[in-house]
Amino acid sequence: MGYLLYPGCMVTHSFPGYEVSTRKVCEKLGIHLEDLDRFVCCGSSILPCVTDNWINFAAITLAQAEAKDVDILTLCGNCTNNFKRAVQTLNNDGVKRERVNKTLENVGLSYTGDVKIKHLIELLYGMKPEVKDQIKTTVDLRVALTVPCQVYRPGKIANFDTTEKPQSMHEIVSFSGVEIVSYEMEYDCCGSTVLLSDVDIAYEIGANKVSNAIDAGAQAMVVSCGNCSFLLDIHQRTLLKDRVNIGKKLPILFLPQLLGLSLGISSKDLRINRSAGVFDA
Amino acid sequence: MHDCLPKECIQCGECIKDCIIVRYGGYSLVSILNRDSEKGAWNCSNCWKCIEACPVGIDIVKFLEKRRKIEKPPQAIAKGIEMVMKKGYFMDLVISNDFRENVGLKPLKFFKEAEIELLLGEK
Repeated sequence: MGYLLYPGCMVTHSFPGYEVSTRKVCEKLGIHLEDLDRFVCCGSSILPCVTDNWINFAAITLAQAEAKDVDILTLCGNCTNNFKRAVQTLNNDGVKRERVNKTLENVGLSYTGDVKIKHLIELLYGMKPEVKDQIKTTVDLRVALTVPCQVYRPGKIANFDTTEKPQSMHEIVSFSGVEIVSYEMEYDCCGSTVLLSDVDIAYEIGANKVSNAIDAGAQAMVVSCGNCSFLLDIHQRTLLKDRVNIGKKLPILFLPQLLGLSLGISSKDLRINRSAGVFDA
Repeated sequence: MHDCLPKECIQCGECIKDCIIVRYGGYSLVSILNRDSEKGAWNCSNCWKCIEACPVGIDIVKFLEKRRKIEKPPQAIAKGIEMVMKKGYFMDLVISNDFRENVGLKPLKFFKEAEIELLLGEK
């Protein structure tokens, strides 16, 4: 059994380090990864609000996974949610499945099965003993976590861990030996999606989240979603510009980058390139 | 406007309590549910704490989709919609293939616009 790695639009566009480090970690853990033949957006939280045919997009990737006899590994909360929704719908609604397959015929694909969708956290959580076994070194760092909302909610779609204060990401992160600091906004949404509709609110949420984490003693923030990183990393300088008491940037690390270090992979191979001074290569 | 609110909604306000957008002074999807606003559907951050809080089990995901079809999207999102419905991705991923090679990743292949049209076409 292996996984079709689906990076999603955001990670592909802006965060190749997340995909690269995921591949390195999977290689180290003996997880076989397949590649997409052709990429199409999962639909995100936007397309289902425009057309009911969004499900055809999701089905394209499901069909490719089925053809390769693998499940799907996602890196982003949105993708996880969309694919899980699509699987539930297509598994339970034969009429819709038939209609979708008629459309997929146009591109030479079909989906008849039951592909499993796992976000990276879920995949690693399901193989905790194997991950622990491969740990080579501890990482001496205090980190705060941003828990990716749509990996856990809605609970009826995610069917993983719990919906309120889930601990699976914490458990995986703890294998690297870091100290996890709690902070007030730990389980709050990062607000990244709202950047496109109300930038002031998004920046306010992001600024509070980052400064909260810094106040709690965090030396880095660990994320596991391209969306979260978009606001908290790429926009960090802008959202902190009015917070003059915060003199520094909070490095943002992807979960596989941190885990990868403790598995003995170099920070260069993990593309940890904006955290100079925090890590040794 | 309020006619298309789910009839199971008992106006208990539990969804509002957990909404981070409302907490930060904005109007969101749950503001519409609670009749505090007629707009705000595109202000949702998709954290789904509202669904978990709802005591009567309203499918707020479906409600979001319904309201967003009525309310005009912000310009930035409208541009994304235009791209994804034409090309099959939300931001230009063709240029991503250049740096994918630099970091040791294989290039991605996409669908032709005609194929995207077939995939999204109304039948």
